[in-house]
Amino acid sequence: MTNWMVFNDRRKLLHAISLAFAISPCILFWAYARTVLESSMALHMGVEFPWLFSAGVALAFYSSRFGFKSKSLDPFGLLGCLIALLTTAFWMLPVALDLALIYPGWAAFKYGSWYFAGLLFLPAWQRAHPALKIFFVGNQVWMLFTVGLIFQDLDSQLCVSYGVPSQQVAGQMLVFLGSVLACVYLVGNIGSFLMRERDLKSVSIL
Amino acid sequence: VNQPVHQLQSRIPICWYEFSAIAVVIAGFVFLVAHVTLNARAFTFEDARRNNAAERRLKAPEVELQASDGRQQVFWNAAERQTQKRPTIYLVDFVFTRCQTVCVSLGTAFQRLQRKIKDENQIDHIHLISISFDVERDGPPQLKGYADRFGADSSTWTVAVPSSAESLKRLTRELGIVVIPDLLEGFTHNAAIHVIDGAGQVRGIYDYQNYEDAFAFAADIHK
Repeated sequence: MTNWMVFNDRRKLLHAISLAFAISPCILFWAYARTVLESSMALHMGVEFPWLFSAGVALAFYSSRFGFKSKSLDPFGLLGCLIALLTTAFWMLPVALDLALIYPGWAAFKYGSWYFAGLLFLPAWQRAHPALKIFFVGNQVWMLFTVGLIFQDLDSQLCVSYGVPSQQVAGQMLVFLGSVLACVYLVGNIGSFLMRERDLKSVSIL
Repeated sequence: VNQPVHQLQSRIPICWYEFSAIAVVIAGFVFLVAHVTLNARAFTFEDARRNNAAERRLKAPEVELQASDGRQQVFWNAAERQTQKRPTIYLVDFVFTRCQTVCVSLGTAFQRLQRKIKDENQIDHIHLISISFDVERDGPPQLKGYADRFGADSSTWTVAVPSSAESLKRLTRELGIVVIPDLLEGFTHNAAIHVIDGAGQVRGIYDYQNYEDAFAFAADIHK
């Protein structure tokens, strides 16, 4: 009974934290917060984008306690993963970054698209086949590395809103994010890889 | 594989929903990327602006500017261009007088162009304009300081500021000029030279390093 209560309390706490994180992007209604976060390309791409996406994921996690599911439209998790992938690809375009900084409509689209992508991603990820997961992570890492290295190597300014030094730091940030994503995925799945390897060996022995 | 046949059959129609949604998402993505990159011709905002200028889709609005001598003036206005035999071509850059980096390079480029205009008698239809976007801090004294620093002669080079914040907003919005205040009380901004004709049509946009190309292009327009 006591254990159940502790578990229930932990779960409540987790839900409360996820709700708080899910509504945290409301801070962006405060102009100063936007100015600080979008003052450098590295913060914009390396902090604001993952934060908005994670907030969407947090909302999906929180809403799961009410039994909210998008299973009927996305039974294999392909749609949610694809939207996350395309959202990342779109916001890697320098022109898209500038548009979001200049026009409020594009800024709203940016916040909405990242949040929505995160919201759809969690249930999709939970349903996705391991092969799809590897494809998704591989593509994200490849994209982050490629764009990150281009940003670091180019001497010409890509965004009118950011200078070359800021662009180079953003490039390093993207490579760092790609590395973190790859490491987290590998560490999280190394156990299942090893188990599958062991199962295959035992099958071959038989 | 281990699922009963009736369960697999019930999943087939759901697949179609998913694949239709995927098709819609991919089509939307392709449309969006094509839209913002002008059909994959411009991956940066500056490229898009320059493409629009080359295709005559960028026009400078008629706004009143206050020059360093305090005079209010509207450049590229319709009444003036009708009286001229050879309409003026304007080379326009955007600066703020406290800037110690790119605006200094722009000032130096215009200084050289001013000398060129004076040296070449044939070219009297080109006028240089440096427009400050710092309407709060840059008044006539600050503009005069900038003009004096680079030896700007008001007959060939006007240093001015939009007469109101509203005018500035109109000008920057329609020309796609990006001015973002930084945390050091300065600005991040475009550093380009705009070639604008008497009707306010932007004919070309050049990097400030290529100021001679901008000049040659402007000189050729009404040759």
